[in-house]
Amino acid sequence: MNRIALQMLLGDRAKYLGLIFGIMFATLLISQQTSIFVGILVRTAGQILDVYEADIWVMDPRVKFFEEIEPLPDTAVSRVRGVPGVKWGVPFFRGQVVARSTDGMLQQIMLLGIDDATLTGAPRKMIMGNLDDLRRPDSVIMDRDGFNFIWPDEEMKLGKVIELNDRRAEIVGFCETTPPFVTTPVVYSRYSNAMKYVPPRSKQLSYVLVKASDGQTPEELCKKITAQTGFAAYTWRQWAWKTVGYILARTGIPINFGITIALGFIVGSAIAGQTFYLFVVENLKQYGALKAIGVSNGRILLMVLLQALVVGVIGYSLGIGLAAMFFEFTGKNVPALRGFFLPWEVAAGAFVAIMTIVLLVSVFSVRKVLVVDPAIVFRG
Amino acid sequence: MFSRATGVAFRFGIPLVALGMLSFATISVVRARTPRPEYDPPYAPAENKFARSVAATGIVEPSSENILIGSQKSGVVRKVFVKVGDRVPVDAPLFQLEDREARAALAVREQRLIVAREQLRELEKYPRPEEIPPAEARLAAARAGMAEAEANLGDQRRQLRFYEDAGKVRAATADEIERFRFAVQMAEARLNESKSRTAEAEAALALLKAGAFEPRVAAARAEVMQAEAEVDDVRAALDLLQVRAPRDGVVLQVNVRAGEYAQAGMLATPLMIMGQVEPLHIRADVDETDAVRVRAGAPARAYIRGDATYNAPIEFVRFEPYVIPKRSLTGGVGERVDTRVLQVIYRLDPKLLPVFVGQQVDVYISEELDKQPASGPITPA
Repeated sequence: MNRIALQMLLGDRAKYLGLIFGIMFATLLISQQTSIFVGILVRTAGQILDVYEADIWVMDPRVKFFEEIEPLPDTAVSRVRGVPGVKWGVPFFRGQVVARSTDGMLQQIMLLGIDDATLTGAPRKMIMGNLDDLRRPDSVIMDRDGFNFIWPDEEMKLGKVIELNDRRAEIVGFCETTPPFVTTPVVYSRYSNAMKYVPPRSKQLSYVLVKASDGQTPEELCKKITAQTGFAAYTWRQWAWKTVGYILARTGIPINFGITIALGFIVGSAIAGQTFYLFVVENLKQYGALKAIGVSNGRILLMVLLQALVVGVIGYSLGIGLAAMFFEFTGKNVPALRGFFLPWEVAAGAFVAIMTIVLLVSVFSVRKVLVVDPAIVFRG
Repeated sequence: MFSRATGVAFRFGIPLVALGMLSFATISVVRARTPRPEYDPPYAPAENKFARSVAATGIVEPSSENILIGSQKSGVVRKVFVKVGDRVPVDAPLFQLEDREARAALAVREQRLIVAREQLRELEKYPRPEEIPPAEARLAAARAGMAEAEANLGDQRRQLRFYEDAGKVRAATADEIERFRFAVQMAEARLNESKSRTAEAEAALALLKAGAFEPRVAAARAEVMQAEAEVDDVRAALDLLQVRAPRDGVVLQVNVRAGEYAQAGMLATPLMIMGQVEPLHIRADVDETDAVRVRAGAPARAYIRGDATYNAPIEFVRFEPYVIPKRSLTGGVGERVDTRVLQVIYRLDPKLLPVFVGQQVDVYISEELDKQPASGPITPA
């Protein structure tokens, strides 16, 4: 019987291909859009994820997400270090400044100030130059995409000088970072240097980065830090999620993307569903004949589900493969999409979604078969 | 419609292509899902070794605190006697301001003192011995003159008597008697005159022998004292032009060079900084909210910034009893007052850590007394 079902499926090659393409296209649409959405959301927390050394981020309790800073007093570092269970704590600065260059360029950049003594939070993927050069006076490290963004026609070259807050900053290295949400160039400097690159304020410290002692879970330590100092403390994971959550809750991005994804979902489902529905309907006569020779309804249902499963799996495989190819290519070569990838959750989710659609549609279409009068076969 | 071969390709080709794509997607997804790496900071941060502790930012300073050497006088620097790092004893000269003017003034004053002294000496030498014999001679001459006048008077009187007797016998005329009477009067007057002259000569001799007038000598003596005081005054001024070490210590900074103008008074950049570096002190700033947890005498540890594997125990010295607004130690622009800090002073044996005065260190202060951290005194060896 299953053989007959497959033969029915392959019998009309145009329909067979149509089914597979429909499902493939739906899969591609769903997984690609969702992955880009996830990628963009991850970018909002990119600078949090780029700090690999710390377990915990400590900040003013009023801070809602990474880009919004309410500075702490400088002694906050000492106060946090004094909390039992803190292995070490270092200052971290984040700010926005306007960079100027001799060629008249004007560009808003994201300035990150890392601890002078330990360089905690330094970029890990250096493309050019040496991280230690950051210890030189007036030195900064810029991210590669930022450089290409500012000077699209120039070769990357060390020693380029920009002006931040009327002070000289020499680019001593290029690194690769997670591009920020708004794709501003990222510039790293030492904390003390960063203080010179931003207008003076009474308080400057953005975050204290903390490592938990051995045998101390970061979550517990967060509670202790909050209890003792009154500052807010999150693990890097919590903090990244909080930032993502803020973007989701406070910007139009999720709605827009949600609509796109939903459209992709609907279009994909519609194509897959409609094609499959037509396929079943057009094969109604065959099913009638089967019924006439005494095949049970359950058996027919199984046959339809098998057909659905086959086209579903093949279509999904092709679609997800195309999506993976898309990200393999663009994630490495297109700066605007750098770092975007196909998360396994998206791949799995797309599979579940596609299979659900296909199976639902097949069950829906098969209703007609179940109630069909076998005599239909003989009616011409 | 289709050949058998294309039928086979159709039947198995599509599932095979699908299988290939699925494998590719699987590999891609798995590769993208590499676990997040964990790195240590590029340079080791100071790790807390106490169970419960207060952290602070410390600055290394001499145990005498920084002595910002100032100059009493302004002037051009002529010579600097010390260089950075020199160990100097108390009162050792540090630098010399231009002193030619003061030296010239000193020479003038000294000369004036000599003059005053000579004048006094002259007055004290009176009477001149050479002047006495002429005066005595004049007295002797006056006395001789008086004797002569007496003799002459006696002679005239005798002659008058002789003529008066002769007149009684009409042997002399009245005119002759009168003449001799006048002669006696003249001799009396001459005797009186020579008596006066003798008295004058006697007085002159006495005056000469008495020497200089006492108030004049006193005035001259006062003048000498004044000249001496003036010399001392210029000497003191001259002395102030040489700046000396106020105590034993090490010269930590020299901001003045020969030929530069040294301003008197409190300066933003002190002319020199010196201090006693054995032992060193660490001035630790503790946030006021943590101050309640710091105990006098609690063990503490200092960590060098940039390589916290260099760390050493430090010993409590004292609290600064006055909580001050924090002076930002981060080297930023100007001074930013944002919170108040309790300063705690610790002693550091300079042999334990390669630190310099003025360097910042991270400090951990145990909340419990008498509990040293498990690790040894210094790492790495």
